[in-house]
Amino acid sequence: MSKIEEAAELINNAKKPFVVFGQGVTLGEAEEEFKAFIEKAEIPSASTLLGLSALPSEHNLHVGMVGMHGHYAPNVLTNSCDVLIAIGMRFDDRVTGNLETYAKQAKIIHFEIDPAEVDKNVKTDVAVLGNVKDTLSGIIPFLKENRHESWLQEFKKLYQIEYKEVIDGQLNASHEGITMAEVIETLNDKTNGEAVIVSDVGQHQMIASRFANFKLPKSKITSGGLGTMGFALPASIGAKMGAPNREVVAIIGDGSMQMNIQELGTILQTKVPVKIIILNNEFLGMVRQWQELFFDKRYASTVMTNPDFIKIAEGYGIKATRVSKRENLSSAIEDMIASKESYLLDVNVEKEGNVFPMIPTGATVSDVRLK
Amino acid sequence: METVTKQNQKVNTTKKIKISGAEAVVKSLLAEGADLIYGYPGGAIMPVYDEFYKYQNELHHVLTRHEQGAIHAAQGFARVTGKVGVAIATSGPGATNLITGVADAQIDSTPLVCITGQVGSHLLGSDAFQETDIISISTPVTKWNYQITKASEIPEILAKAFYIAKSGRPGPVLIDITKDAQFGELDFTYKKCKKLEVIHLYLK
Repeated sequence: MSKIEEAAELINNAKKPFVVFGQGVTLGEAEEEFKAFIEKAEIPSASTLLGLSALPSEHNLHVGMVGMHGHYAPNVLTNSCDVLIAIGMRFDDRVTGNLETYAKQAKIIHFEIDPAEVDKNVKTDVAVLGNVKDTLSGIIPFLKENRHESWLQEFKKLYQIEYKEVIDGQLNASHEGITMAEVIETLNDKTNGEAVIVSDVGQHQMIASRFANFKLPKSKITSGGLGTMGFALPASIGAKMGAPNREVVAIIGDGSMQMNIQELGTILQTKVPVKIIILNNEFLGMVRQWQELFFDKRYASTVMTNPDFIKIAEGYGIKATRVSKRENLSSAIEDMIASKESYLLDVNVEKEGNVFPMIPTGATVSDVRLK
Repeated sequence: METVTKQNQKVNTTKKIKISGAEAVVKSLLAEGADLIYGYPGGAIMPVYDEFYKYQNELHHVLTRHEQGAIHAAQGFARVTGKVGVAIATSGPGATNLITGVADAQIDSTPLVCITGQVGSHLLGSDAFQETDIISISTPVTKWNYQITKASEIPEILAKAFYIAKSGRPGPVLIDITKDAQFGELDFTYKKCKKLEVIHLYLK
């Protein structure tokens, strides 16, 4: 029996199959094959950070993102599935948490192009080597059409808990201070989910990843594995030049913005019309969040005294505005998107917002903190 | 007189089929369809930039404000298009400033070809101005790297660089080119690399 047939047999007999997909789907340009695969066997599917936009966010089998700041349901149910199908992903520690307690109950199938990744972090039962475009189209004929209604319901139930405990409060905040989630949600609305979102590293990156609505492939560009602050501004320049007909929006924290701020000069010289949103909380927010949670709020070197980003943008010939009140957010983003030229929007968000859910480093994947 | 003219003609004909290593870099990039690249000039890469000037209607070079900006821009380009991104810098600090982006592309599987200038081969190992051993520095964060010291190597090595960057699990490749290799001459023919039997770090 070939590896493909072995994998198909495990999937066909699974009661609770679960897919975690990564950037391999995007790099293999296998979005259509992937969709056909999960639809035929009706498998709930969660993305890694770099897998985002390989499957439209609103697809009924897309159950969110896994990982440290991923969604509640896919993280918790990683430890309930009976077959875990990893597709073009590499079991990064931010995805798995404690390996000793990661999906131990499940059979593991790994679709992977790089043999070095197989059994590196998680021991597989069946490894299917190759470009996922080939291996996924190869397995589809062996798959049974299947339905997993009650299993899908488990994801929906947990999503309701996450919505009530976390998401609702961020999207429908009544307290003073715009939340990062509100900004991304408004951006979804004004771009119809068709923008390329280039994010930097930190809280804004996680919120952008959790809340952005992706309709098209290759729409999420971020520094995942290395976590390079300063990535987004220059990467958005390259992305806009590579996809001139798409709206490209860089989502950048106030700390990250200052790590490659000189690239505003490249925008000035080339007139590349990228849109820049600074989610400005005057903190190195992710480090501050860890200091709040794990270091008794000792905010060592995370308070930022920032320059006037509007004046800086103007110095580089880039239109810029600031928004600090919720009621002005929608029109500010609308103006930014309407601009034919590059545009910088400095959004003053709540200062000490936290990114939840969260799996603390080294904890079990199902041991998710909601607050 | 007649003999002299004939000799001159012979020399001219030979010169016509020979191009510089720097021009071979540009022609190789164009042969790979890489007509939009990001970089920052400096002493050890100036012959290549001189060719960018001559080829400016065919190859668009975007001047960033820092080499790190160049490589992240190349990454953004690669991620949104699925093509190989190209970043170019000079030796020494130009090359080391690329390294964060190279490491980023390595861990996020982004196909890149990075080209760095290097001091002349007779100066290698002499602590020359803006000399750094970028091959050693980049080895753990590249899928493949190579130092070109002869102009004649340029087309074949760049063809391999593009192939390795994009094939299988994509990743960054760094090609370091000494200044004498950029000035040197070669007979240029370009053959795209379709397959490698063995991908080895010190592939010749």
